[in-house]
Amino acid sequence: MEHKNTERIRWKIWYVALLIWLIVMIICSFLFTLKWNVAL
Amino acid sequence: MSIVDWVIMIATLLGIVIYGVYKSRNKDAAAFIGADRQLPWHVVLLGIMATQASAITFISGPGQAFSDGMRFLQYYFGLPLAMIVIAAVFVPLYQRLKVRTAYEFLDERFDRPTRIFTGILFLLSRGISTGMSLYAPAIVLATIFHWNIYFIIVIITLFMLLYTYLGGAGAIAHTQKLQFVIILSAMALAAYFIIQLLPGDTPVRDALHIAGANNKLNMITTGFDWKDKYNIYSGIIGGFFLALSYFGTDNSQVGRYIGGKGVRESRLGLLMNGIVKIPMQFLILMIGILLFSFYSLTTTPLFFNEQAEHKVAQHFPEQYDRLSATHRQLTEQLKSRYAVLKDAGYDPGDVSVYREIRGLDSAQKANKNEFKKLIREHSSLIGASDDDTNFIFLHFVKRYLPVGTVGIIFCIIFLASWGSISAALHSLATSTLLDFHMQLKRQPYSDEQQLRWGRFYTLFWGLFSMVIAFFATRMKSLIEAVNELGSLFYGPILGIFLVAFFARRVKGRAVLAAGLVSEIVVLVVYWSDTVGFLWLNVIGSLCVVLTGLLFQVLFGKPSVLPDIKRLE
Repeated sequence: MEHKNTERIRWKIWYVALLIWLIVMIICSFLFTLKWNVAL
Repeated sequence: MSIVDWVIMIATLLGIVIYGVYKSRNKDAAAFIGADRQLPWHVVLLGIMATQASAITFISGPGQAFSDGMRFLQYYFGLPLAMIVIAAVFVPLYQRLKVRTAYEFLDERFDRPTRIFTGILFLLSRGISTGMSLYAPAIVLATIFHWNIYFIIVIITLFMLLYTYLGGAGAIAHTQKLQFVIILSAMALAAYFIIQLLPGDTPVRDALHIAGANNKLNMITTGFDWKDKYNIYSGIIGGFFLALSYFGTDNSQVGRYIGGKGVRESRLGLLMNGIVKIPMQFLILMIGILLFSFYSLTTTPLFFNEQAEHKVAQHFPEQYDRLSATHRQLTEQLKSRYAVLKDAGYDPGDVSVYREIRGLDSAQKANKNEFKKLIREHSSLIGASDDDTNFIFLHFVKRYLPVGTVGIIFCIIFLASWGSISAALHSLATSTLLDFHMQLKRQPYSDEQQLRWGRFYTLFWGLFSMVIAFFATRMKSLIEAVNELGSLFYGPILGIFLVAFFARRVKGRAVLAAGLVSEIVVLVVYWSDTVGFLWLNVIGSLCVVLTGLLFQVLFGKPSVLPDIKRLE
């Protein structure tokens, strides 16, 4: 039972990490656009 | 191509085929259909990526960035979210039930008609689109090398069929691993040479400034428009539904990760795909951006499909000379403005130069559009599409890359085709066998019979795709529509699975009726041309969920809650 719970928490950490990774990617893309793209 | 390039290309391709055949030894039906559920996560990951990345991903991706900028990247923003949902909800059920196709799950959850209906939607869309993904690289190779297109289609199919027919899931997974490593290395090599070949030792920073001045580094676009294909909203929402449907319910993808050694390996493969996909696409698109700067600083051809350009020059010399002269003149003017920008240290405050550049760029586009119009109006004479996006990267490869690397780059067209098409054929074959053929049989098949029929259907779908690709050569105007074909079916398929997972009260009849209604709704919305194609996935799946719930409430019998607990 305990092993199952640890396993579940481990996967939840994975999901949150991937979510954070996506947010970082979107923010980086936004900053990249601001820095390099010239909007007129 | 030089003899060295030919030798490298043929040796690599033959090596992959021999490796695939070697990996096909001693197979039984379980291994042929599902790789014995023995694959480690990294093979699952490479299988997932190689199945999604067709030849067009690699040759058209840089061209897309060249023509339309980086905004195509937003299309992938919904993908990591979809990976989380699939890893958390779909994978445990698929693995615990030990399903062999995605639609087998629907039989357990609903009933046989729902399984067959969803299977038909899958076979229809995947069967035709596999033919198209065979045709797309073949037409590019045929044009560049003046080869016979039918010959190329046959060659691509036959060699790939050899190991797919013999080895099934296992052979596909192991060859995809090699194919993808070669493809990524070749793309990295191409990027290295573009940077090296930038004229006058131009640093990458300057190349980015030039692309940015032309609005090519538009990675995030926040303006909302229902008809706009790629913006942050359609990317996250539409992209999420598309990825959820494609990775969660399309048998060509489900077949890859249910071959994983348990829930852990399948999940890791999917989550890693969520991590690497956006950076990988960024790098592929960046190749297109560097190419844009390379051509801006050297000489951009009027049209990247050289064969079509020669034909226009031959048949319409006056118009061609005029358009060509205007193009050259505008290119020189643009080059001089880039020099001004460089001298000013790319000062973003110097708006007048940027405006001039945009003006000249628009004039160049208008000039090119006139050239394209000429191709469209005389399509039977010119015999080519007015879209040269797929030729941009390969034009550079053929013209500027050193001997040896050209062979490797052209190799990736074959490898990427094999990777995605072999997985598609295998998924079509297993679905036909398990979701249709065996459902009609009263007596179960022996292992040997299953293997024999599995191979037969692999061969059948291979030949079917070849026929579709042959037809595509005669119906060029249909290609654009067929490219978006997936989105016509993905929405309702996903909706049925969402109901299966989350709306436990809804039964088979209600979901089947909802699927039919939603398919009609999606087709009507598509023909009315009111939204960009990514939104069709959202509309289709939500429509199934809502009408499914409604039908169950209105017409369903009140009964004991099924089923998901039992399935779990």
